[in-house]
Amino acid sequence: MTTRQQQILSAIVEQYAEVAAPVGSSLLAKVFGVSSATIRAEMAELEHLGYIMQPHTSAGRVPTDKGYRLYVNNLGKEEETPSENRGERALTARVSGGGLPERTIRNAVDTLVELTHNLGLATIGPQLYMSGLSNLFGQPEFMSGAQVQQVARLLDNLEPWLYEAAPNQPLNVYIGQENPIGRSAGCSLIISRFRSSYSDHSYIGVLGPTRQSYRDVMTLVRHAGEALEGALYE
Amino acid sequence: MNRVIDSRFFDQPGFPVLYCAWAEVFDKNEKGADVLEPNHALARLSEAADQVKSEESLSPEALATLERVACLYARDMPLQLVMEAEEALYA
Repeated sequence: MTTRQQQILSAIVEQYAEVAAPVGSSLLAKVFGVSSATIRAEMAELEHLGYIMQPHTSAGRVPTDKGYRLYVNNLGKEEETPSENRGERALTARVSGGGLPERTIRNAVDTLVELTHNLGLATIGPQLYMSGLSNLFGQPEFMSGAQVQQVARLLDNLEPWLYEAAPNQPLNVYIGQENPIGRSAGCSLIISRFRSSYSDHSYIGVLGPTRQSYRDVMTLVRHAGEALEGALYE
Repeated sequence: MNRVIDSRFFDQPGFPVLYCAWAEVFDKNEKGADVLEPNHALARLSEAADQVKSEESLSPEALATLERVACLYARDMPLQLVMEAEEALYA
């Protein structure tokens, strides 16, 4: 895969996250300063490799789970910016002024919900706190009654899975079909493990559509875990 | 700005039940957070769908369409707005 193909894939992922509509070659041609024909040829190759696909209803392309995975893996190779962004500062403020551990974790989840427009979740001892379901059903991908049953099953499975699987990385990203608790639900689960007075395997994160602003959301979830560990782990 | 509401869906059997359930799911408190907790919200939606299934003779496709539109309306059209529109219609 060429550097330009990787850049085009990144542009498709980011544009699709923003506008929730398939991305066409004419827009990308303007972004990259090349002809539409050149972009179409690159997109055909990306489609052949399985990183993007063409929905039946549109001439544009959307990322596949494989495309998202490559994009997320490449994000992991980027150097972190040393300064906090606005969202991170908001999280830090809400966590540091939280008071009791339970209140602090709830504050962090509620802040993540506000900032990412996903369903937020965290373990508080043996309990799972969740907030912001309406964000999930506000997304075009989830605007159907059929999704209700899938999401209900997914949330039922989430708590036991967290305790059984106990993901161990500081940041864990499960995209679409990789999602161990609901492979067909079209969801991505992004969770951070942190140590707290409750457990060394405490979790905070978000659940949302695979169409995510992964760069921002991963940064915020990672920061939420770090801020909670700083506030709650002695 | 005047907003125009297409109220025809509210005449469809079962639609008001589904709309009310979705409206509760999208209802926010004064802090902007969901009023219903996620598990309660999902239970409320399932109950509404079960009620419509048992009370109305709808095909699965028709029910799916009503649920989709009810979700869309509730998301974009708060209950308060619908009540105001109904009051205006029948005043």
